Parts: sequence; structure tokens; C-alpha cells
Amino acid sequence: MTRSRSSVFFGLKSAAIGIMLAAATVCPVGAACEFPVVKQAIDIMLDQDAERAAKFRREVAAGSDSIAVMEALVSPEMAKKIDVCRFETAEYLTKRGFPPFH
Amino acid sequence: MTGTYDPDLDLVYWGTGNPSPWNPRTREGDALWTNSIIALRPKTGEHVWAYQMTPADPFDYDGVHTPMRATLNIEGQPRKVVMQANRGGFLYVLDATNGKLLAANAYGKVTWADGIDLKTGRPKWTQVYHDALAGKNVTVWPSVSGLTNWQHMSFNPGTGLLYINTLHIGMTYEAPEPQAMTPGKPSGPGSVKRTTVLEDPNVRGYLKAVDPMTGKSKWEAPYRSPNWSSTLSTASNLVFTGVMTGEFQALDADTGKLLWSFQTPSGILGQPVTWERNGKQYVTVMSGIGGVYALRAGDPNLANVPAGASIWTFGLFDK
Repeated sequence: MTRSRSSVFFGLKSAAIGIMLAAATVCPVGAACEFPVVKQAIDIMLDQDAERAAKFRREVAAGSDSIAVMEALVSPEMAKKIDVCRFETAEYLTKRGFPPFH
Repeated sequence: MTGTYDPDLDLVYWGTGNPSPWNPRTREGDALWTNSIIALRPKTGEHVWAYQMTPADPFDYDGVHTPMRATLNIEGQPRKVVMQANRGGFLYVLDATNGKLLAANAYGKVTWADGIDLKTGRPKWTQVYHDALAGKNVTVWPSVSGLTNWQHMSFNPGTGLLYINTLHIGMTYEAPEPQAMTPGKPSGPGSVKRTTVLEDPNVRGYLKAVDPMTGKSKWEAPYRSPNWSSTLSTASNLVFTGVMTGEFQALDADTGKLLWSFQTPSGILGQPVTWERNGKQYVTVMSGIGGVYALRAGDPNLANVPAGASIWTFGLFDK
């Protein structure tokens, strides 16, 4: 049995589209940055939580990257939100005097 | 950063960045061809030669600075060379045809290596470097920002000098025990610790007129903050550059004497260019502070420099 070149092409094309749809279903779409939530978490830590704020300041003064320290001091869920908002977090931490590494 | 094309040799020279992860304790070997200059045949992509300035770089000493093609008189013979004032603090001069290392000298304060072995091309690493790789907290010069950065140098064939805006800043550096890599998480910035080290907070940079074969300065002009503008050399022995506090300056190429200065409304990081129209020569530069150093270095000299975005053109006086 032979198949025409065009039917092979369309078969491959259909398979590729199927794989892409399956991948799109399995892989989560990139989360959007919820910066107001992140900003609130940063403000609460730096302004209202003396113990964590002192640890943050101490580690940043010792040379650690401010985003990395911030992520280590918040919950894993908030660390994920910070990760999604790395650019906005960097800008905000810079304004607050804790610029992250470039 | 841009590469350089040599139409005579039909070669493109390109500098490359540093290896990742930043923390060197996660890596083995030289990480070829990071921190290197690579010569390529543009029509075929043929890799003609390469030279690695900083093997296994732990400090983020990128080799991306635009390679400078020139012809130098070396031991009485004209040699086609490629020059690069590298972020790690050494000024490299390579034979443009084959990549042979002709000279490599420090053009400022460097503590991670005592020099470069001209036979092997490899750095003569100091204890500072070895301690850094062992995870100890060390003080190293230059800093992560380099002895120079993305500001281009210029070469004046008349004076035989390179004009380089340099930084005079060191750092403490520590590479802690590496953490496990996590997919999707950055492997760079958070993996090392560093703080800024200064000798004089009011001298964080120099404009230097440097002999390419020795690295020695004929003159040095100190600046409160390093200039991130490039230099423009002219046949009339002027060196133009911009200052982070907004001054656009012309200096004497032989002596470094400040000849002219114009205050623009913001800091200058732009590159001065010169051009001609209807027989009259002009010099143009952009004014507008920004970039990693201005925004994130915490340099107090720049705290009150206004933001801006303007372009300035100056015409040379008629004779």
C-alpha cells in the first residue's frame, strides 16, 4: 500500500498539532505578575516584622542578593510570586535601598 | 556589545560573556569559549582562532568589550593587532591574523592575578583567586563591574595611546557551598555574595591614556564616579567623553588637561560620535542617566542627578 506525499504531510501535520495541544494542556501558562501582593509582602516584612527585617538587612549587608534573601524569608508560595515578578521586585527593592545583583 | 569586522583579513572579532552558574564551585574546567575573543570568517562561520582571557571565571569578568583593530609598530615592525581592555583588568594585544598573544598588562589595580603568561596565555593566579574558588571571603580588585565595562575605549594612531574610562572599585567576594539547581530559577546572581570596596569614595574612576603594549598610563584624570560614556579621539588631539553628572568634556590627548566642558541636563552614558556635513565637523552625544551602575551601585555622587533624554550636537568653530 502506498500513501501520497500530501497525505503523509497532513498526517504529520495533524500529529504535530496534536502534540502541541497536549503540551499546552499539560504545561501551565506563564503566571502573570501580581505585584501589589508581592509589594505588600515586602512592606510587611521590612516595616512590621522586626526579626525578619533585621535578618534581611544583615544578609544583604553581608553581600547576598536581595531578591534571593527575600525569597528565602517568605513562604514558598510567595517566593514563587516574587520569582514571577523579578523585574518589578528588583525595581522596588532598589527604591527601598536594597538593589539586587544585576 | 558589537563585534569588529576587518575587511583586509575578512575576519569578525567578537567577545563573549562569562560562564554560568556564576558560582565557580558548580563548574569544572575552563568553560571554553567564555570570556574570550573569537575570530570568525563571516561568510562561512569558520572558527579561525580564539583566545580565552579569564578561564573558569568566578568574578563575572565578561570578555564582551568591543575588540579594537589597529596596526601597532612592535619591535620596528607594523603588526595588525586586536586590542581589548578587559573587565578583569588586563589590556590584551593579540595578533589579528592568528590570535597570538603579544602583550597583556594590568592597566589598573588587579589582585586576582599577578600577570598573564605570554607563552601559555593563562593568568598567573594569586592566592586571592584560589581562596575565592575554595569558598573563602576575599577582597578582590577589580569589582564585578570590572576595571572597565561596556564603555568603549578609543585609539589615537597619532599618540599611540588608548583612551579608557576605568572604574576604581573593588569588592568582597564569597562563593558559598552551591545549592541544588532548580529548573526555572536563576543560576547567577543569588549564587555568590559580594559587597563594594573603595579606596577613596570621591575617586571611583579615571579616564586613562594608556600605552597598549605596557598598560602604563601617560596620564590619568580622576572622577568622583566612573564615566560610563565612551571616549572619542580625534586627529586634532582631543578626547571627548561624558560624565555621569552631565558634563560633556574635551581633554588634551597628550596631557589630559580639561580644555572644554558643557553641562547637559542629565548624566551622560551615551557614546560621543563625530560626523561631517557640508564641510563642517560636528560632535554629538546623548544625555540621560540610567543603567546598572547609576541605578544599583548606590553611588551617593549620583543621587541627585536628574533623569533626562536629550541629544546634543556641537559644531567645531570655523577656522
